[in-house]
Amino acid sequence: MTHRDIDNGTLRSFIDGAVTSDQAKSISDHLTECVACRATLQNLQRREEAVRSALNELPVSPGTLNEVAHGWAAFERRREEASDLSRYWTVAKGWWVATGAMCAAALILLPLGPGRIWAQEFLAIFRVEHFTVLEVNPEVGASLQNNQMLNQTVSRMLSDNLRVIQRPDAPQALSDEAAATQAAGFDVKFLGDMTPTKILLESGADAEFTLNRSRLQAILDESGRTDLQIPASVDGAVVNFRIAPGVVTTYDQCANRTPPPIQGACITVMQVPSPVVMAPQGFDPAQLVQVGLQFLGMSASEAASFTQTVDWTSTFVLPVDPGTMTYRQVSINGIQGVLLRHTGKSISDRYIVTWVQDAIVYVVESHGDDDAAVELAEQLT
Amino acid sequence: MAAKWNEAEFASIFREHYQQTLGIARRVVRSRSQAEEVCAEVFWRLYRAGPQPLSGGTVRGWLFRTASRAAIDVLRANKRRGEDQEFPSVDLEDRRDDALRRLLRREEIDEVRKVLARLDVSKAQLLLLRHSGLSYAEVASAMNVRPSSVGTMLARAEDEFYKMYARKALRDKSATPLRAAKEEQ
Repeated sequence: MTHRDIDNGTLRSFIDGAVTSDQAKSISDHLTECVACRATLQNLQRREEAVRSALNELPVSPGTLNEVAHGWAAFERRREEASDLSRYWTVAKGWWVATGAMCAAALILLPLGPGRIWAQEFLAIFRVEHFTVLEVNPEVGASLQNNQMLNQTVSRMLSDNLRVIQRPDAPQALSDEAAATQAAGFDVKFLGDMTPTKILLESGADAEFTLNRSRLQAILDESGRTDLQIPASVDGAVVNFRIAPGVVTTYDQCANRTPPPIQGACITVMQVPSPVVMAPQGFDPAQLVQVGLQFLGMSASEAASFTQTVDWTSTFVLPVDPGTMTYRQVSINGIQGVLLRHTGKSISDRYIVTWVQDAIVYVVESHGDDDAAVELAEQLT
Repeated sequence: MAAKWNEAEFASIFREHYQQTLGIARRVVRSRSQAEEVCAEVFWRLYRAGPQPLSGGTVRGWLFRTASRAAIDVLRANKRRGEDQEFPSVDLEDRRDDALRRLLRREEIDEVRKVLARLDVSKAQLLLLRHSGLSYAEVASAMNVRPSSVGTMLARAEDEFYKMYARKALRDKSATPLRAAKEEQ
């Protein structure tokens, strides 16, 4: 080995005996002749000893067998917790199936704004009062769905940063209309000329999401959007989502309808108090919303312009892929609603109409033309 | 969907590596229970990832790297919240130690951790892994670097730690009455 080959890294490895015996001999021979290398070696040794001594100050675990049993119990609890979380999402997905990607949109778009102030001073409260539709680029959706790394990052983020405060219970069957109103705690509405075949009370849910800037940034990075930056100001903000108990009513006596039902219940009505989102006072979601919009395929200027046109105080954004769904704004006895319809031929007569009235979100799923949809919805206003 | 672990195989990995993983986490975070939480999370991540090849090479390397990273994250979060002082616990001290000695020890621990928290994460991880007894080959595998680079990286990390630690010690020498008491002893 020549003097040039013997750098700090080589000497450091030599100290730890992490060189071959030939190298060790060659280094030792060189050290006898080279004063500068001896000085460097001594310097590295001093640092190694100082660091080792400092790190040795740190506590060590006692190393008992009991520790492993303790650790296994902690691991089992963690596994159980994650399993509960997964059950929660399965139930939540079922509950929200008719309203599409609302929960996902809530996480990505955070349709919040400096709306109502809760009695408690440290929280700002935002409540869904309107829906608006956002067309998303289907290619973005497909690439996100197929991105396994991204899905793992998202599920890891949910697992690490989402704390479920109240898990939804299994739906509870209710006997009649009066029982539904009593159990839900609001005036549950029913279609006038039909008898419901099933009334279910869906329990509420309460979850808290801690915004973790680095994790959110990792999601953008994983999806190839390294050009987008999550603002540092959101890091650590705790956003709370609350869904109150709601009622799902199904009506099966639709045999005389034209066209006849394709499968299952022909009408499903869901009614749930507007989901409530709480964030720290002063939390400004505008920048985050703009990042979310760009993530869904908008240009920076489109995102800025869209952000300005939406009242983030009270509007929930429904992302819609125009390749698989059509939508239009409808008026239900003067209340603005959204009618969504699949474009697939076999299910193109099925629709979802949704609106908010008196802080209750209504979702009606059935089949028929647009006029029939509005007519049905108006029976509930 | 990741392939699932054979439960017996996973339990065997747990038994084999838990104590050393806990040892790494315990050095960094302020209490044994916090170290246990870190380890539960790390083993949960391994369980969830399934038995496919890990990015950190060996399971042992992956566990140590992930545990050191997770523990440093907790250390930094504790620091932000002002909760980074070592939790007084019986496993830390010899019960025969006097109160001053125990306080000095805690102060020393806090200082080392402050330097670890300020170091670049990969440098702090490297120091923790190497000084927890991993060989150069294991460190290289865990950190995804070439074994021949470990010496150079270690020299740089130690140099940076040494300078920060020495600076801090100098600053604290006059500022801390406890340290003055230690000097007298």
